[in-house]
Amino acid sequence: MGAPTQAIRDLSGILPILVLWGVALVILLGAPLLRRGPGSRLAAPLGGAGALGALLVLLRGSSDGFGDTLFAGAALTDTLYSSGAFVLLLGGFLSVLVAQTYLRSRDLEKPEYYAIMLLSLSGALLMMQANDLIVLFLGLELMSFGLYVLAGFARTDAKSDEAALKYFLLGALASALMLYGIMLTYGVAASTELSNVQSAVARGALKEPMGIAAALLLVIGLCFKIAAVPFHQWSPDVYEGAPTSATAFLATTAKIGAIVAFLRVCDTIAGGYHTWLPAIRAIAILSMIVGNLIAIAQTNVKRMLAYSGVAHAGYLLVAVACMGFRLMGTKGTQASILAMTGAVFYLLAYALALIGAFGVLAYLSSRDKDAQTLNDLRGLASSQPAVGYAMVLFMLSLAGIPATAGFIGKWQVFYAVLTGGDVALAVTMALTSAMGVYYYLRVVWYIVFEESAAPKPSPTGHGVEARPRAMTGVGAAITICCIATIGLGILPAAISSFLTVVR
Amino acid sequence: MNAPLQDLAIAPIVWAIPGLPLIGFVLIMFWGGGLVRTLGDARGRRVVGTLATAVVLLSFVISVFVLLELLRLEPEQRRAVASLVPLMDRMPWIEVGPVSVQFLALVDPLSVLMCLIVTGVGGLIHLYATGYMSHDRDYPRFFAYFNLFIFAMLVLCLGESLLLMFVGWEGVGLCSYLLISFWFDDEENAKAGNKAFIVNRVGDVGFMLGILASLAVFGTLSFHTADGRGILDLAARGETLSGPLTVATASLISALLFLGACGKSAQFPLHIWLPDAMAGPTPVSALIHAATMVTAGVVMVTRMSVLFAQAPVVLLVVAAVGLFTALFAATIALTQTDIKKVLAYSTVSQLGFMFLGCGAGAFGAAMFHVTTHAFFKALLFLGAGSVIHGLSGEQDMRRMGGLGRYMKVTYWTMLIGWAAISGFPGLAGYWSKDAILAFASGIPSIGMFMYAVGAFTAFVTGFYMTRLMAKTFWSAPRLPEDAHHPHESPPSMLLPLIILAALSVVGGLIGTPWGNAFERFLEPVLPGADMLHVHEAIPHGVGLALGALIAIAAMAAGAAAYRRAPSAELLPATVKATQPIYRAAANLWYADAAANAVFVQGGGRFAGFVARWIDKGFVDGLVNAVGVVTAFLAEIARGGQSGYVRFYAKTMIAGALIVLAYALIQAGMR
Repeated sequence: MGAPTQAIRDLSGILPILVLWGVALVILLGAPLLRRGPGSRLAAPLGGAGALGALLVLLRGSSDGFGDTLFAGAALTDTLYSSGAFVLLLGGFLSVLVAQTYLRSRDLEKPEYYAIMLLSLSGALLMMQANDLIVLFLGLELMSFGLYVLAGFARTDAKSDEAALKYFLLGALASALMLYGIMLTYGVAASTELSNVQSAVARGALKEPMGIAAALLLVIGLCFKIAAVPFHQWSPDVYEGAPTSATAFLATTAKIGAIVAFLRVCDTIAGGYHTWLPAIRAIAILSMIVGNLIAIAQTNVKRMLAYSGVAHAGYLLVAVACMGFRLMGTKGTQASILAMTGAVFYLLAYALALIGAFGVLAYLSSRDKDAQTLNDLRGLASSQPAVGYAMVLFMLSLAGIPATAGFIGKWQVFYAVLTGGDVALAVTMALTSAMGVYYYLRVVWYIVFEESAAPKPSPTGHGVEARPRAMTGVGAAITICCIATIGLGILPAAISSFLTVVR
Repeated sequence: MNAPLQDLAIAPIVWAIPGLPLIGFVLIMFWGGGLVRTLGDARGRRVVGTLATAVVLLSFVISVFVLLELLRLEPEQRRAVASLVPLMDRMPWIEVGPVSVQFLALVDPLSVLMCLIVTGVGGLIHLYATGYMSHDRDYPRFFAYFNLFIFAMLVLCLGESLLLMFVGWEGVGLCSYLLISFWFDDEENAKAGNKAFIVNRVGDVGFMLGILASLAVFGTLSFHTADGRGILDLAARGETLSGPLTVATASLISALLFLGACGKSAQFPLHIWLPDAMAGPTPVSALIHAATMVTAGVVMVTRMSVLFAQAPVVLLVVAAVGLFTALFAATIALTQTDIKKVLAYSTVSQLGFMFLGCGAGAFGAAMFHVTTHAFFKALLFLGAGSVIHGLSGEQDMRRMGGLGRYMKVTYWTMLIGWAAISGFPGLAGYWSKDAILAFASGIPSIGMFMYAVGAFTAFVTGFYMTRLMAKTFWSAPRLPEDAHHPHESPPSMLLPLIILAALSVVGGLIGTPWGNAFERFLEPVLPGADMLHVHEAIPHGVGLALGALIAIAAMAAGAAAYRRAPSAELLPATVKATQPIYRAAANLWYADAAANAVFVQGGGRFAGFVARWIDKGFVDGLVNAVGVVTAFLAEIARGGQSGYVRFYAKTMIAGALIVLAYALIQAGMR
């Protein structure tokens, strides 16, 4: 009985990944048919179906056998994975919706875009499921390669090319540092499997110089992916240069995948917290301050959101720091569990608001205009109230104003770190959040209070771009993000059954 | 008081009581206007009005079924919780640490009583409004708000926790604001709405602090829980989350809650918003500002009566504030010329009576007065509305008179309302007012004084109501020459009047001193005799006889006085101008002027000071300084964003080296 059932269990444990791969393969093989003609309408629905299918498979998956390892200890399924995957795949689905409209209106649509998205998502899933540093690295690379390509998807746009190249070069450097860390880990633990690493840490591996270097190089590699200071400098250039739909996707996917992996790695090496906790705390505080500070000086919304992403990476690192409290008494254990749940909720709120915000930019873009700056949003509340107020809502959620999901996420992380007793991090978080309100509200100001700069459409319609474009995809994405942002802000408990991490 | 929560077979449909009006609100809000456009004006309006009325009456029917189900249980077992979300047992709402709040309804005698009043009287007023508002251009918006109000009020009454109650509390406040300023084209109406909203905020701060204090002391917000650790469960046993409940703690919480009740129920000095609230359409005045919302304070105090019972000083304050407000408002009612203003001050006065009852510990009698008052005051307001409707908007009693001839039904029903509120023997107001006064006489040491003042107020009540009737119906007609011919109102407005008149006659019989079914029904939610000793210093017979005497004397005195003045003016204008007492009362005892001077002017001056010195000088200076420094730093930091990959890579390596070096040096030093 043993062998076949084990194989089936292994495969069913990674069923969402298999679904993504299957659909990606269908898109790639069918690309000639999907490229032009009537088939071109099918590419986006296929991509959406892939993400949604994986999400459904994930939700339907039985929860018994959770915590089991798969493939002889290479991967595992647990609630941290399943809740993270829920957020990731939801974000992926919404990103497909945004891409469908944006790419079409910018004349960039190619079926491969969706296939690459799905492969990238599968990489992120693998990263979350990894129970072995090598598998984690594999997932990270699979995710990142897709993101590099998507960043450069507008091949005729020099900025897009530049973004892709920068992202790739710096990403390769970060990968190298991380791989070096994995190698050193093998040096001290004689294994890269997380359980073995954990026991090696318990034996004091992180007291040796080699262990210290290993842990910190791992931390640095992951910090690059979430764009934490000082490993953040790629993000504004990439966010600005990449096509807006790709920005939405890479900003959320990379953050979700890397944070979940980060939580898992730091949870594993919690025993040696004295080596890495000061570094994470310093990086978190720096990210919160620097991100919020520079965002104030931005007039390009995509760049502003990049710096705001740096700040959010800082807040999320606060949750990661809580992993270090796990072995410090019951309060500490409680804090680490609260932080995991909080971080996942935070990621969900962040993904909804961010995809929504980029969705609004995508909505406003057309063949000859790529909406990116504050001026493009001027007077939106009066010219296009629905979209305008949706953007206002996303900004409020990013700023963490109560009655939005962003507030609940921030509150949960804040509560976790206070439970852990780290007042300095909590205070920094609160103060920098207040700083952040400034630049989010500036967007609100432009939308609601500034006069529209665009010429009034002439009654005859001449000279003004007629827009008979189908807005179904991005419209649906914005609507879903709006409803979910408010809904989760008022009824956060409604979704807790999916998102609670159990230890 | 400590019976466990029961399972109620009818629990799965309790959600529909507030749910149906909510559905009505959503339907009318989003499709009402479209309906009127597609179906044509007349038919569309009929559909909207019928829908709005039907959902409320359907809620009433369900409330009756819930009552019958509740009556099948033993009295002390009549307590159950039911989900407010259909098809779900427990819908979590807020779960923060140990605090968990769910969308649950508490079904017990108090909440069911309020449901019956709100949906019953509310349904009649909805029916009335279909006629009253028929010419209004914003017909759908009116009924949308009206249904929303019923929903919020039912949440207030049914909510299983202080927080849910507070949601309803704020919801009815919002609807009140929206409906007072319903005709917002007129700036006065908009101002009246703002005033109501702002004055209520003062009370709400107290309520909110009371909620937080309860949370801190009892560790929960639920009234009753299955394990007997709800606020009221603990308070009834004299416990808190940790240790016994002291008098000081109980006093603090109940004082804060009473401040909230004062705001919503218009008790001195927070009463100033209610008379202005008459700017709204008359059905609004009847439903919100007479029958239901303004009694929310009494309901809340009764709900928390176990706690109040352990705070004797606060009870005394409640009684004193109630009594003072009752007398104070009654004297103002004597001088008003706007028919709705008279009724508004009368409402403030009657609410004062209810709080007097609460303060005397007779929460049952207070709720009894809430019930009868809902009947006769709604009747009086609707009658006044019928008069105003018949006169095409005239509200000044100096231009009325002799109307009984034109509107017979309105006249006879208002006559019953007049007798009921004045305390004519046998009618609704007689029994409830007497019960309150009798218990007030039992307040230790100052009971007889309280009784005397209360009895005097009852006399004034009879007198000013007689004045209203005389000026409106009995005196010689004083309609302006060019006025429209007065006409009787349509049947949709008269039917509610007739039903409410009937209730005003017989409604009091459920609570006579002989076999008081009403008190017995409410007993399970009230503090037991072991906790709070209340008694009546005046024997039943004497009290009832005295009450009857006072009422008849007041009505006779009023009738006699106005009989001699066919113009319905008792005092010559010169006396009115020179008499200081009259002037003071006609000027509302300067309460509004004082509030204006202290809060509006003084507040404005304080705000000006803050704006000029603290905000502009200090805060802005600080903020600007931060802004300048921040912008400076941001520019420096942006300088690092050169765009060169090699520079970025170097930064990364440098960062990595710093992190590594720091960690290794740390390890080396250890």
